[in-house]
Formats: sequence, C-alpha cells, structure tokens
Amino acid sequence: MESVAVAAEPAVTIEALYRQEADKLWRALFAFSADTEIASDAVAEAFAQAIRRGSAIRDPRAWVWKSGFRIASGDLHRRSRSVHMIPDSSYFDPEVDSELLAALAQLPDGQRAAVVLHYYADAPVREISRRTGMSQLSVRANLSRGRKRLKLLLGDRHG
Amino acid sequence: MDDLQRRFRRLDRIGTPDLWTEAVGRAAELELAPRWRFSPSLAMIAVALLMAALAGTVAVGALLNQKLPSPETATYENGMIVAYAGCGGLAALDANTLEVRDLVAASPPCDRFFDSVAWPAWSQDGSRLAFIGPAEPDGPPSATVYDLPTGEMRVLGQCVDWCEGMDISPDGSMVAYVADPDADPRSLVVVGVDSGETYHIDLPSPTGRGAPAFSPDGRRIALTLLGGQSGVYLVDVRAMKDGAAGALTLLHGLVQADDLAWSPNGEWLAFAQTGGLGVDAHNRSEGGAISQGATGLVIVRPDGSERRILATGTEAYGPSSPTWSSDSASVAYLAPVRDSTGLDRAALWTAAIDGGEPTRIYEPARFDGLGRPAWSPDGEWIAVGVTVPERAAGVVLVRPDGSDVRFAPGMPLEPAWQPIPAD
Repeated sequence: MESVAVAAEPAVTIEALYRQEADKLWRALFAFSADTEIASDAVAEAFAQAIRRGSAIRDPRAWVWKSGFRIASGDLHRRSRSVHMIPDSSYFDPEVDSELLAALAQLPDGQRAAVVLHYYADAPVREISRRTGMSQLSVRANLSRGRKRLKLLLGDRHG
Repeated sequence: MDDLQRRFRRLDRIGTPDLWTEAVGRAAELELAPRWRFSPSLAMIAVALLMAALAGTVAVGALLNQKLPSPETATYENGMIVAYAGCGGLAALDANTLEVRDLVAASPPCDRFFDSVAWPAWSQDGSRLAFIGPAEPDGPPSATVYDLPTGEMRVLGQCVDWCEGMDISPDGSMVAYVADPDADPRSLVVVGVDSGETYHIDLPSPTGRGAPAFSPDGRRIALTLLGGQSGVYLVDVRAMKDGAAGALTLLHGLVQADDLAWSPNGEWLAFAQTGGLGVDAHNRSEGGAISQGATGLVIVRPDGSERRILATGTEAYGPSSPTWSSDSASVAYLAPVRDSTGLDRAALWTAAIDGGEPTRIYEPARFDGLGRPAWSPDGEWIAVGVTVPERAAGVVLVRPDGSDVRFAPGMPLEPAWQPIPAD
C-alpha cells in the first residue's frame, strides 16, 4: 500500500489544538447531539479535515468547532433524528445529566448550539457566531429563546 | 453561577475518547482520494485540446456570443420571495403556490447549517439580489450580488471574518455593508457592482454592530451603529464619491439603534432603539408599566425631526426588525408577548405611523421563533421566517390584517421580497 504523507507541520499544530480543544468539543457535541457516536464522528472528522487543509485554515480553533457542529448537525439530519431527538440511552455515564440532555433535545438546532456554546464553552456572542456560522443577530435570538425554553423545560422559571 | 451553568459544568466530568489516531487515519484516507495531478501524458492531451480550440476560434466565438439561456425570470403576481440558503445557494418561494425551489443550488457537498441570516436585499427593479454569506462551504463570508437575468453570482468583497448588514442601491449599481468586526476603526464599505470601485468610510470608534440602508432615491445611506458611538448616521453618496470630508453625519445619537428601514416614499426612517426614549415607556404589548431605558420602535424624518415612538418593550426584549408597507403608512415589526407561564416570545405586529394601538397579527405556537419580517411590494402579504422545533423551519405568509395565515416549510429564515418589475 502506498504510504501517505500528511503534511508534518500542520499536523503537529493541529495535534496541539486537538490536545487543547478536543475534550471540550466532544462534550459540547455530545450535549448538542445527545449521541456519543455522533460526537466522536464529528470530532474525528473535523480534525481529519483540519489536518488535511493545514495552513489554509486561518483560524483553526474556530474552524474545528464550526466543522464539528456542522458535521454533527448533518449526521443528526441524515439519521432523521432532528425531527425528534432521543438521548442515547445506551450511554450510562453516571455523570450524564440525562434531564438536561432531554431538555436540550427539544430545542431547534440553532438554539441548542447557541445554548451549549454559551453555557458549556463560555463563548460570548461573537465567538458563538464564529464557531457556528450564524450571524451575531441570529446567535442573540437563538440564545435568548433557547435559554428561556430550556429553563422552562427544566422547571426553573425564575433563573 | 446559576443552576443552568452548574448543570452544564457537570459535562466536564464525562470521560471522553481519544480520537487523534482516528483523525490522523481519516486525514490519510482523504489524501488518498482521487484528484488531479500533473502527468506528462495529460499535459500533452491538454495542449492538443488547446490547439483544437484555437483552430475553432470562429465557431467557439459564435457560440459564446449567443446569450446564455436565462434562468427563470420572476413573473409571480406578488413577486418572488428569496432567501440565502447557505453554501452559496438561494431558495425561492412562489408566494401564490407556496412552492419552494432552488433558485441557485448550494455548492455540493453542503449541509444547510443552522439558519442563514444574510441580509438579502433586492434592487428596485427586482433584477439584482445582494447578500452576505460564504460562497462555499466553510469559506469566509463574501459580499455577493446575484444577477437574476443572467444567473451570474458576483463576489464583490471577501469578509475577513464576518461582515454585517448589506443593502443594494435602488438602481442596483452599488452595495453597502459594514466590514471587519475586529478592525479599529471599522469601516462602511460601498462597492460599485459593475465598476468594482470601492469606498471605505471609517466609522466612529468604538463601534459595535452596524447596518446600512440606501434611501429610495439612492442619494443617501442611513446607518445604525451600536456601541460607544451609537446612533443613526447618514452618508451623502455624492460627497462620498467626491472624497469630501463630512460624508458621514450623525442624525440621531446617544441611543442604541438597530434594524433600520427606510420608508418606500423616502420620508421616514424606522429603527429599533434602546435607551434615550425620554419617557416612562409603557409596554403596549403587555399593557404593563416598565422601567426607563426601555426599547422602542422609533420613526424619524431623515433630517432628524418629528421623532415618534410607535411601540415600546422591555430592556431585555423589545420591538425590532421593522418593515414598511408599500404606502409608507404602516410598519410591521416583531415584539414580545408574554404567555401564562411568564415566557416571552416574539409575535408579529403592525402599527400605523399616524397613531393608534399596535395590532398583533400573528403569534406563533409556544416555542416557535420568528425571523425578520418582509412586507410584500403590493402590500398584500407579510412574510416572516419561523423556526419550529421538531419540524423544519419555514416562512409564514399572513395578510396585514392577520387573516389567511399560510406556512411554507423548507424556506430559510430571512425572506427578501422581490420588487415587482415595472412593465
């Protein structure tokens, strides 16, 4: 089999980025998709494409987050689970807040992404915009509506 | 830290898989995918093809001089509603049949990623549509003009990270947008669609979000700015082209202004304003008193006179996204309603500029969200994007009196109603 040379320098840089961001990205995508398989596929694919594109990517950190969410969103739609997402019941990590995941699953994609990035990744509006491709106007609207609905679903109408 | 934040923090305790080896493996597979590489035999074939093409210049020239088949031209009674669909695609909705189709197909492979708010704006003759969006999946956003008669898509400027606001002059000859959110100072960029001539007007610093709108006569550009030097500004287009100082003047300052719309007759500007209302704002949407510093939907003459407050809201959630009726007598906009659980959600309202209580004309289901509305050029319909959990997003069409509500699924959220071409 022909050996394949992946450009060494970009891969090193991307590996450093992976070590910094992958865990956070995976958990954010897990919260977004409620599915460990989708989260893993999206993280692996986003970093694979980042390695291949190397220095052509201007902002690798924003790029892998955006790609990860785009890939996870595509996976969800292909599996027709965006119609009615069901949290992955086969995943039995005792730390998983299944009530939170179930509530998140009832939000539209844009609201879910904005809420996860805001509350879990501590991203401000501009950063959410960079990481999702949504405009800042859209992020604000999605965040506001998603937060209100999530609090209602979780029984907290005062927070 | 509130309860919601604490619950999200628990995600940090979940174990994660190491996917680096998997990523490197996939990258290697991507490298192996077939692609064009230089080979001497291919080069010889290419040279031969080039020679053949040169020999047939006359025939090729004759072919090129033929007008390319035109994409379908809009002939709908109410004009065509178009929205940017992401990945370079444009989706079109026939307002009469509710049929949604691709006016321009998105570049494959492409997932329509979330919604695609992109400030689409038509020229007055309905032949050119300007918008901001990535020309390709994952690419940087671009200031783009779609020419309907030819189907040509022109990229007029690349955004460094994200451009904001977009409008096209009534005659379709210029576009204006705010570039470089991180630049200091930021600039208003005006580009000639055919000439490519570009003007940069530095904006007061510090500046937050900004969005321009051409006057119906094309002689001025109104601009709302959020941030330290917030307010409503006017740009004199002739002075800008002459390079004269003072092309940018402050019309209405010390307020947070956003979502500006110029009335079709050119006599009013409508915008959402936060602060500086000078009244104990009364929330007409709910009938309850609210504090000062509230938000309002404001109209003002282009010389800054005759300011009127058409509607008010809370600081957290006020009226926004005005769109004018074709007779310039009313404004449709979004403002909240509060349901029995205490949850605010957007509804579609109209208000006559000469007074009277605003009228709620469309209230979506409990968890649906609304996008920016657009009033049809013939005044018969108002279109508004709606997100529906557990279903695809789409566009709602509703009569200005709130009757005859229709839903067109599958349309992106920010509809732009094509002006009816003059006969």
